[in-house]
Amino acid sequence: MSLNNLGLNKKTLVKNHKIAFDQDKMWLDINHELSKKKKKPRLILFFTCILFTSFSSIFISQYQSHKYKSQGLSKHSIDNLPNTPSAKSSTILDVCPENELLVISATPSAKMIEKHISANVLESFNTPNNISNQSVTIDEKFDSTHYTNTSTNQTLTEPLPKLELSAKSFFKVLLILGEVYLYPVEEKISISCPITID
Amino acid sequence: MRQHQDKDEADIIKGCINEISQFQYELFMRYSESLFATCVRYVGCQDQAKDVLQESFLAIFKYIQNYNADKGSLFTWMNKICINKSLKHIKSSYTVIDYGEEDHSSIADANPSAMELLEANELFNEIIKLPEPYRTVFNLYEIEGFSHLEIANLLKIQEVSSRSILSRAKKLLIAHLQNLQFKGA
Repeated sequence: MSLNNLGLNKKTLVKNHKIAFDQDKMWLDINHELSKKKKKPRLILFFTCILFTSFSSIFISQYQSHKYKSQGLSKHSIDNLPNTPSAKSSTILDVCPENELLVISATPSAKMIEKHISANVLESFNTPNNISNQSVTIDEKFDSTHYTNTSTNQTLTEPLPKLELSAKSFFKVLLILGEVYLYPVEEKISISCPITID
Repeated sequence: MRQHQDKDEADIIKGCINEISQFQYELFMRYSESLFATCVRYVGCQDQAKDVLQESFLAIFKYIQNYNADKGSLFTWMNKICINKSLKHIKSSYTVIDYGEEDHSSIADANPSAMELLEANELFNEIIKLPEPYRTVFNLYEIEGFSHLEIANLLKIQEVSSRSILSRAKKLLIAHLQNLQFKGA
Protein backbone atom coordinates (compact mmCIF):
# COMPACT_ATOMS: atom_id res chain seq x y z
CA MET A 1 0.00 0.00 0.00
CA SER A 2 1.07 3.52 -0.55
CA LEU A 3 -0.31 6.47 1.31
CA ASN A 4 -0.78 7.98 -2.10
CA ASN A 5 -4.01 6.05 -1.83
CA LEU A 6 -5.15 8.68 0.57
CA GLY A 7 -7.45 9.92 -2.14
CA LEU A 8 -8.57 13.43 -2.92
CA ASN A 9 -11.61 13.23 -0.70
CA LYS A 10 -9.68 12.18 2.37
CA LYS A 11 -6.98 14.77 1.80
CA THR A 12 -9.63 17.44 1.54
CA LEU A 13 -11.30 16.20 4.69
CA VAL A 14 -8.01 16.35 6.55
CA LYS A 15 -7.31 19.76 5.08
CA ASN A 16 -10.72 21.08 6.07
CA HIS A 17 -10.63 19.51 9.48
CA LYS A 18 -11.78 21.82 12.27
CA ILE A 19 -10.81 21.83 15.90
CA ALA A 20 -12.97 23.62 18.41
CA PHE A 21 -11.28 25.80 20.97
CA ASP A 22 -12.04 28.80 23.14
CA GLN A 23 -12.32 31.35 20.34
CA ASP A 24 -13.52 34.20 22.55
CA LYS A 25 -10.52 33.91 24.80
CA MET A 26 -8.12 34.02 21.88
CA TRP A 27 -10.05 36.88 20.30
CA LEU A 28 -9.55 38.90 23.47
CA ASP A 29 -5.80 38.38 23.19
CA ILE A 30 -5.77 39.23 19.49
CA ASN A 31 -7.94 42.29 20.01
CA HIS A 32 -5.67 43.44 22.81
CA GLU A 33 -2.63 43.13 20.51
CA LEU A 34 -4.45 44.95 17.71
CA SER A 35 -5.45 47.83 19.96
CA LYS A 36 -1.86 48.10 21.23
CA LYS A 37 -0.68 48.47 17.65
CA LYS A 38 -3.32 51.12 17.03
CA LYS A 39 -2.18 53.07 20.07
CA LYS A 40 1.47 53.07 19.03
CA PRO A 41 1.17 55.71 16.29
CA ARG A 42 -0.80 57.95 18.66
CA LEU A 43 1.90 57.61 21.28
CA ILE A 44 4.60 58.33 18.73
CA LEU A 45 2.67 61.44 17.60
CA PHE A 46 2.26 62.54 21.21
CA PHE A 47 5.94 62.24 21.99
CA THR A 48 6.85 63.88 18.70
CA CYS A 49 4.67 66.85 19.65
CA ILE A 50 6.33 67.07 23.06
CA LEU A 51 9.77 66.93 21.50
CA PHE A 52 8.82 69.51 18.90
CA THR A 53 7.45 71.85 21.55
CA SER A 54 10.55 71.44 23.70
CA PHE A 55 12.93 72.05 20.83
CA SER A 56 10.87 75.01 19.65
CA SER A 57 10.96 76.68 23.05
CA ILE A 58 14.69 76.02 23.34
CA PHE A 59 15.24 77.42 19.88
CA ILE A 60 13.12 80.51 20.57
CA SER A 61 14.85 81.21 23.86
CA GLN A 62 18.24 80.78 22.20
CA TYR A 63 17.16 83.08 19.42
CA GLN A 64 15.91 85.74 21.82
CA SER A 65 19.05 85.49 23.87
CA HIS A 66 21.09 85.93 20.72
CA LYS A 67 18.92 88.85 19.72
CA TYR A 68 19.41 90.62 23.03
CA LYS A 69 23.11 90.04 22.92
CA SER A 70 23.29 91.41 19.42
CA GLN A 71 21.70 94.56 20.76
CA GLY A 72 24.55 94.99 23.16
CA LEU A 73 22.83 93.67 26.24
CA SER A 74 25.12 91.70 28.42
CA LYS A 75 24.28 88.12 29.29
CA HIS A 76 24.54 89.00 32.92
CA SER A 77 21.81 91.59 32.72
CA ILE A 78 19.48 89.27 30.80
CA ASP A 79 20.03 86.38 33.15
CA ASN A 80 19.35 88.59 36.09
CA LEU A 81 15.97 89.72 34.94
CA PRO A 82 13.33 88.93 37.53
CA ASN A 83 12.13 85.37 37.24
CA THR A 84 8.48 86.25 37.05
CA PRO A 85 6.10 86.19 34.14
CA SER A 86 6.99 88.85 31.70
CA ALA A 87 4.42 90.87 29.92
CA LYS A 88 5.00 91.92 26.42
CA SER A 89 3.46 94.99 24.98
CA SER A 90 -0.31 94.99 24.89
CA THR A 91 -0.39 92.41 27.67
CA ILE A 92 -2.35 93.29 30.72
CA LEU A 93 -0.48 92.54 33.86
CA ASP A 94 -2.46 90.47 36.23
CA VAL A 95 -0.84 91.60 39.39
CA CYS A 96 -3.16 94.39 40.28
CA PRO A 97 -6.57 93.84 41.83
CA GLU A 98 -9.76 95.44 40.63
CA ASN A 99 -8.60 96.31 37.21
CA GLU A 100 -5.97 98.66 38.33
CA LEU A 101 -3.96 97.90 35.36
CA LEU A 102 -1.01 99.00 33.53
CA VAL A 103 -1.68 98.86 29.85
CA ILE A 104 0.79 99.63 27.20
CA SER A 105 -0.18 99.86 23.60
CA ALA A 106 0.99 97.14 21.30
CA THR A 107 4.34 97.39 19.56
CA PRO A 108 4.74 101.03 20.12
CA SER A 109 7.21 102.84 18.06
CA ALA A 110 10.26 104.19 19.66
CA LYS A 111 8.90 107.66 19.48
CA MET A 112 5.70 106.64 21.16
CA ILE A 113 7.47 104.96 24.00
CA GLU A 114 9.72 107.84 24.45
CA LYS A 115 6.79 110.17 24.43
CA HIS A 116 4.78 108.10 26.86
CA ILE A 117 7.57 107.71 29.25
CA SER A 118 8.69 111.21 29.15
CA ALA A 119 5.17 112.51 29.54
CA ASN A 120 3.11 112.28 32.69
CA VAL A 121 2.85 108.55 32.76
CA LEU A 122 5.46 107.92 35.31
CA GLU A 123 4.44 110.84 37.31
CA SER A 124 1.04 109.33 37.96
CA PHE A 125 2.53 106.06 39.01
CA ASN A 126 2.18 106.20 42.72
CA THR A 127 3.37 103.58 45.08
CA PRO A 128 1.08 101.89 47.56
CA ASN A 129 0.60 103.56 50.88
CA ASN A 130 2.27 106.50 49.38
CA ILE A 131 5.54 105.17 50.56
CA SER A 132 7.37 107.44 48.37
CA ASN A 133 4.54 109.22 46.74
CA GLN A 134 7.04 110.37 44.34
CA SER A 135 7.16 110.50 40.67
CA VAL A 136 10.03 108.83 39.05
CA THR A 137 11.19 110.17 35.86
CA ILE A 138 13.40 108.64 33.31
CA ASP A 139 16.13 111.03 33.83
CA GLU A 140 16.39 110.20 37.46
CA LYS A 141 16.46 106.45 37.14
CA PHE A 142 17.79 105.85 33.72
CA ASP A 143 20.47 103.29 33.99
CA SER A 144 22.67 103.33 30.99
CA THR A 145 25.46 101.31 32.48
CA HIS A 146 23.92 97.88 31.95
CA TYR A 147 21.86 98.34 28.88
CA THR A 148 23.69 100.34 26.39
CA ASN A 149 22.26 99.62 23.02
CA THR A 150 25.07 99.36 20.56
CA SER A 151 23.03 98.25 17.63
CA THR A 152 23.34 100.57 14.76
CA ASN A 153 20.11 99.72 12.99
CA GLN A 154 17.67 99.99 15.84
CA THR A 155 15.35 102.94 15.69
CA LEU A 156 15.01 103.78 19.32
CA THR A 157 16.37 107.06 20.35
CA GLU A 158 17.69 107.85 23.74
CA PRO A 159 16.82 107.24 26.49
CA LEU A 160 17.23 103.52 26.46
CA PRO A 161 16.44 100.79 27.61
CA LYS A 162 16.02 99.92 31.27
CA LEU A 163 13.93 102.03 33.50
CA GLU A 164 13.36 101.52 37.14
CA LEU A 165 10.18 103.23 37.97
CA SER A 166 10.72 103.85 41.58
CA ALA A 167 13.26 103.57 44.25
CA LYS A 168 11.32 100.59 45.56
CA SER A 169 11.41 98.90 42.17
CA PHE A 170 7.84 97.91 41.83
CA PHE A 171 8.36 97.38 38.17
CA LYS A 172 11.28 97.09 35.95
CA VAL A 173 10.70 98.17 32.46
CA LEU A 174 12.95 97.02 29.74
CA LEU A 175 12.72 98.51 26.32
CA ILE A 176 14.22 96.50 23.57
CA LEU A 177 13.75 97.54 20.01
CA GLY A 178 10.33 98.96 20.51
CA GLU A 179 9.00 96.14 22.65
CA VAL A 180 8.05 96.81 26.18
CA TYR A 181 8.73 94.22 28.82
CA LEU A 182 7.33 94.64 32.27
CA TYR A 183 8.69 92.69 35.15
CA PRO A 184 6.73 92.84 38.37
CA VAL A 185 9.22 92.66 41.13
CA GLU A 186 6.85 92.05 43.98
CA GLU A 187 3.79 89.88 43.79
CA LYS A 188 1.85 91.94 46.32
CA ILE A 189 2.17 95.10 44.46
CA SER A 190 -0.85 97.22 43.98
CA ILE A 191 -1.17 100.37 42.08
CA SER A 192 -3.21 103.01 43.65
CA CYS A 193 -4.26 104.66 40.48
CA PRO A 194 -4.77 103.09 37.09
CA ILE A 195 -2.27 104.01 34.55
CA THR A 196 -3.09 103.98 30.93
CA ILE A 197 -0.91 104.66 28.05
CA ASP A 198 -3.03 105.38 25.06
CA MET B 1 -26.46 31.54 -1.48
CA ARG B 2 -22.88 31.26 -2.71
CA GLN B 3 -23.07 34.79 -4.07
CA HIS B 4 -24.46 36.02 -0.77
CA GLN B 5 -21.59 34.40 1.11
CA ASP B 6 -19.04 35.88 -1.30
CA LYS B 7 -20.55 39.30 -0.85
CA ASP B 8 -20.36 38.90 2.90
CA GLU B 9 -16.74 37.88 2.61
CA ALA B 10 -15.96 40.90 0.45
CA ASP B 11 -17.54 43.13 3.07
CA ILE B 12 -15.55 41.44 5.79
CA ILE B 13 -12.31 41.91 3.88
CA LYS B 14 -13.13 45.57 3.32
CA GLY B 15 -13.95 46.00 6.98
CA CYS B 16 -10.71 44.31 8.00
CA ILE B 17 -8.71 46.56 5.68
CA ASN B 18 -10.33 49.52 7.45
CA GLU B 19 -9.38 47.91 10.77
CA ILE B 20 -12.97 47.72 11.98
CA SER B 21 -13.00 45.41 14.96
CA GLN B 22 -16.43 43.97 14.23
CA PHE B 23 -15.34 42.65 10.84
CA GLN B 24 -12.06 41.36 12.20
CA TYR B 25 -14.03 39.43 14.80
CA GLU B 26 -16.33 38.05 12.09
CA LEU B 27 -13.36 36.85 10.05
CA PHE B 28 -11.75 35.29 13.10
CA MET B 29 -14.90 33.45 14.15
CA ARG B 30 -15.53 32.20 10.65
CA TYR B 31 -12.13 30.66 9.95
CA SER B 32 -10.28 30.22 13.21
CA GLU B 33 -11.33 26.60 13.86
CA SER B 34 -10.20 25.43 10.42
CA LEU B 35 -6.96 27.36 10.66
CA PHE B 36 -6.38 26.08 14.15
CA ALA B 37 -6.57 22.54 12.75
CA THR B 38 -3.93 23.47 10.20
CA CYS B 39 -1.65 24.82 12.90
CA VAL B 40 -2.17 21.74 15.06
CA ARG B 41 -1.46 19.48 12.08
CA TYR B 42 1.92 21.16 11.62
CA VAL B 43 2.92 22.00 15.14
CA GLY B 44 1.53 18.83 16.67
CA CYS B 45 0.56 20.42 19.96
CA GLN B 46 -2.56 22.43 20.65
CA ASP B 47 -0.97 24.83 23.11
CA GLN B 48 1.79 25.83 20.72
CA ALA B 49 -0.67 25.83 17.82
CA LYS B 50 -2.72 28.45 19.65
CA ASP B 51 0.30 30.74 19.80
CA VAL B 52 0.96 30.17 16.13
CA LEU B 53 -2.68 30.82 15.25
CA GLN B 54 -2.72 34.05 17.20
CA GLU B 55 0.44 35.19 15.47
CA SER B 56 -1.06 34.17 12.13
CA PHE B 57 -4.21 36.20 12.67
CA LEU B 58 -2.18 39.26 13.59
CA ALA B 59 -0.31 38.83 10.31
CA ILE B 60 -3.58 38.26 8.45
CA PHE B 61 -5.06 41.51 9.78
CA LYS B 62 -1.84 43.36 9.05
CA TYR B 63 -1.47 42.21 5.47
CA ILE B 64 -5.07 41.63 4.42
CA GLN B 65 -4.89 44.50 1.94
CA ASN B 66 -2.39 42.35 0.00
CA TYR B 67 -4.93 39.56 -0.51
CA ASN B 68 -5.85 39.17 -4.15
CA ALA B 69 -9.13 37.35 -4.78
CA ASP B 70 -8.05 36.52 -8.34
CA LYS B 71 -5.21 34.34 -7.07
CA GLY B 72 -7.30 32.13 -4.81
CA SER B 73 -9.80 31.98 -2.01
CA LEU B 74 -9.39 33.90 1.21
CA PHE B 75 -9.18 30.67 3.16
CA THR B 76 -6.32 29.41 0.99
CA TRP B 77 -4.46 32.68 1.51
CA MET B 78 -4.97 32.57 5.27
CA ASN B 79 -4.08 28.89 5.36
CA LYS B 80 -0.77 29.68 3.66
CA ILE B 81 -0.01 32.27 6.29
CA CYS B 82 -0.75 29.72 9.00
CA ILE B 83 1.49 27.15 7.31
CA ASN B 84 4.33 29.66 7.02
CA LYS B 85 3.97 30.70 10.64
CA SER B 86 3.86 27.05 11.70
CA LEU B 87 6.99 26.25 9.69
CA LYS B 88 8.73 29.23 11.23
CA HIS B 89 7.74 27.97 14.65
CA ILE B 90 8.92 24.45 13.86
CA LYS B 91 12.22 25.70 12.46
CA SER B 92 12.87 27.62 15.65
CA SER B 93 12.30 24.45 17.70
CA TYR B 94 13.94 21.73 15.65
CA THR B 95 16.98 21.15 13.52
CA VAL B 96 16.23 19.34 10.33
CA ILE B 97 18.80 16.63 9.83
CA ASP B 98 19.85 15.44 6.42
CA TYR B 99 18.28 12.01 6.24
CA GLY B 100 19.91 10.80 3.06
CA GLU B 101 18.24 8.43 0.67
CA GLU B 102 15.72 5.78 1.69
CA ASP B 103 14.48 2.59 0.12
CA HIS B 104 10.95 3.51 -0.97
CA SER B 105 9.87 0.03 -1.87
CA SER B 106 9.38 -1.09 1.73
CA ILE B 107 6.24 0.91 2.19
CA ALA B 108 4.46 -0.58 -0.77
CA ASP B 109 3.25 -3.75 0.92
CA ALA B 110 1.35 -2.52 3.92
CA ASN B 111 -2.22 -3.54 4.48
CA PRO B 112 -4.35 -1.49 2.05
CA SER B 113 -7.44 -1.84 4.14
CA ALA B 114 -5.92 0.24 6.89
CA MET B 115 -6.19 3.39 4.83
CA GLU B 116 -9.59 2.55 3.50
CA LEU B 117 -11.05 2.06 6.92
CA LEU B 118 -9.52 5.15 8.32
CA GLU B 119 -11.73 8.11 9.00
CA ALA B 120 -10.41 11.60 8.33
CA ASN B 121 -10.45 12.34 12.05
CA GLU B 122 -8.31 9.35 12.87
CA LEU B 123 -5.92 10.12 10.07
CA PHE B 124 -5.64 13.67 11.37
CA ASN B 125 -4.88 12.43 14.86
CA GLU B 126 -2.24 10.03 13.59
CA ILE B 127 -0.59 12.72 11.47
CA ILE B 128 -0.16 15.03 14.43
CA LYS B 129 1.47 12.21 16.37
CA LEU B 130 4.27 11.98 13.82
CA PRO B 131 7.54 13.41 15.11
CA GLU B 132 9.40 16.19 13.38
CA PRO B 133 10.38 16.52 10.59
CA TYR B 134 8.20 13.65 9.34
CA ARG B 135 5.00 15.48 10.17
CA THR B 136 6.00 18.61 8.30
CA VAL B 137 7.14 16.87 5.16
CA PHE B 138 4.12 14.56 5.19
CA ASN B 139 1.76 17.51 5.58
CA LEU B 140 3.43 19.53 2.88
CA TYR B 141 3.62 16.69 0.40
CA GLU B 142 0.52 14.63 1.03
CA ILE B 143 -1.96 17.17 2.28
CA GLU B 144 -0.91 20.46 0.71
CA GLY B 145 0.44 18.93 -2.48
CA PHE B 146 3.88 20.55 -2.52
CA SER B 147 6.57 18.95 -4.66
CA HIS B 148 9.78 17.60 -3.11
CA LEU B 149 11.70 20.42 -4.73
CA GLU B 150 9.40 23.00 -3.14
CA ILE B 151 9.66 21.28 0.23
CA ALA B 152 13.44 21.16 -0.08
CA ASN B 153 13.56 24.89 -0.77
CA LEU B 154 11.13 25.64 2.00
CA LEU B 155 12.92 23.61 4.66
CA LYS B 156 16.42 24.27 3.32
CA ILE B 157 17.16 20.59 2.86
CA GLN B 158 18.11 18.48 -0.12
CA GLU B 159 15.37 17.19 -2.36
CA VAL B 160 16.46 13.63 -1.76
CA SER B 161 16.18 14.22 1.98
CA SER B 162 12.61 15.34 1.53
CA ARG B 163 11.83 12.07 -0.26
CA SER B 164 13.56 10.11 2.42
CA ILE B 165 11.79 11.86 5.26
CA LEU B 166 8.46 11.36 3.56
CA SER B 167 9.17 7.69 3.13
CA ARG B 168 9.97 7.27 6.81
CA ALA B 169 6.93 9.33 7.74
CA LYS B 170 4.73 7.01 5.78
CA LYS B 171 6.31 3.98 7.41
CA LEU B 172 5.70 5.42 10.81
CA LEU B 173 2.17 6.38 9.96
CA ILE B 174 1.38 2.95 8.61
CA ALA B 175 2.84 1.36 11.72
CA HIS B 176 0.62 3.60 13.85
CA LEU B 177 -2.39 2.76 11.76
CA GLN B 178 -1.74 -0.95 11.96
CA ASN B 179 -1.35 -0.64 15.67
CA LEU B 180 -4.65 1.21 15.80
CA GLN B 181 -6.31 -1.48 13.71
CA PHE B 182 -4.83 -4.17 15.95
CA LYS B 183 -6.18 -2.45 19.04
CA GLY B 184 -9.55 -2.07 17.40
CA ALA B 185 -9.69 -5.74 16.55
